[in-house]
Amino acid sequence: MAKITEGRLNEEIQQLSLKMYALQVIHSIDKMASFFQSSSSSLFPAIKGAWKNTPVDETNRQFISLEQSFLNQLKKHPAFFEGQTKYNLLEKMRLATEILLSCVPDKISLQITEEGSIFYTVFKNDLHIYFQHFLIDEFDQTDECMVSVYKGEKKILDYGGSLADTIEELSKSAPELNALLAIA
Amino acid sequence: MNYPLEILPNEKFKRIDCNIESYFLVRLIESHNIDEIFNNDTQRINIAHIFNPSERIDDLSLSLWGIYNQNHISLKFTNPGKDKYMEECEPDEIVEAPQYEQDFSNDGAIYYWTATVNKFHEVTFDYQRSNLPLKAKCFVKHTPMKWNFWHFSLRWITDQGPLDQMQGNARKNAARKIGHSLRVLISEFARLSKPPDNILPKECYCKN
Repeated sequence: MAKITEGRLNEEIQQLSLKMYALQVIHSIDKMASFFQSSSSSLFPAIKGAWKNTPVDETNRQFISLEQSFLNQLKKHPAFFEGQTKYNLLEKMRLATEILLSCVPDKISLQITEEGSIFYTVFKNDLHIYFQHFLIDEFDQTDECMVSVYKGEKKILDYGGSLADTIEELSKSAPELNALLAIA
Repeated sequence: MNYPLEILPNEKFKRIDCNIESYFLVRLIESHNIDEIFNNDTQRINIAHIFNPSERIDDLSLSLWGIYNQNHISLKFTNPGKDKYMEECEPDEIVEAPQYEQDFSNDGAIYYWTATVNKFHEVTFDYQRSNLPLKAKCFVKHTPMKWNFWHFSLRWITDQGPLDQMQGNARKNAARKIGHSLRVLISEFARLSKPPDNILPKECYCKN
């Protein structure tokens, strides 16, 4: 039997922790689905339990483009995420990106920042979503996110918390506004 | 090259005391590469060029557009020049003009972002429902400097006190949220285009 090195063991633990972390935010995707249901219902035919990524071609294209952009930026600025493995960074980026892409945005871009975060700019109809995901070197729920949302020139949300909580707040913010607009 | 004397503090000047909400603030972008600066997809300035978070976020430097204009945006100070002139002063302080090459040069930078004062002044950010709650308000303050009478600063007051007086984790939390909010604000409202040449009336900054 091959000897398991300490480094390998740590890597296994990190990967397992990351999977657990991923599961904690999956429930938020259901809420995101209802948030954008009008235009993305085809994306969510049956979200029960495990998330199945079945993006339309455009979303797929956006995902690949964002992933490539992230990798290019990471290569250019490795010091922004010092001490973290590329594997873990990429997995975290993929997770948040998939969630944000579930709204089938009109436009989306990402930029890495010196403080070790990914800053997403997402446009959907007249919603402008600015979502910042701080990728810290831990795999519990402490990754911090911040989101601000504008509808036209009016800000409708500022929130900071875990990825799961932030996605939940984001999903709750827009339906309320839609309802208000419908009444108006 | 002579230093533009019109932007230096002057014994005839006072602190600006008019409503300047519709006037434009500008900030230099150091990169000369428009492809780096501007994201064609989102039609927004890339956040890396909005400001550098390693700078003091509690005191972001800007200038009021008008008498300070595109002729001044690319002034670049040498280290000795910075020591001598990058310092707040009274609006009517008599300042010796900076010397070319010794104190300053012109690096040919041509890009800058602009937004009106009212996009920042007294704008509030409310993270009360967050895991680490914070409420903050932005103020645009006229802060004349020895190199530029038209220098302004963005300052922040939070529900836990002024940002520049906060310490430890409280400051870290506040600075992170304010940094995010400021990037959002500038992404949303700042533009790369040249603002209108609105010159402030003299009575707003000249003593009687």
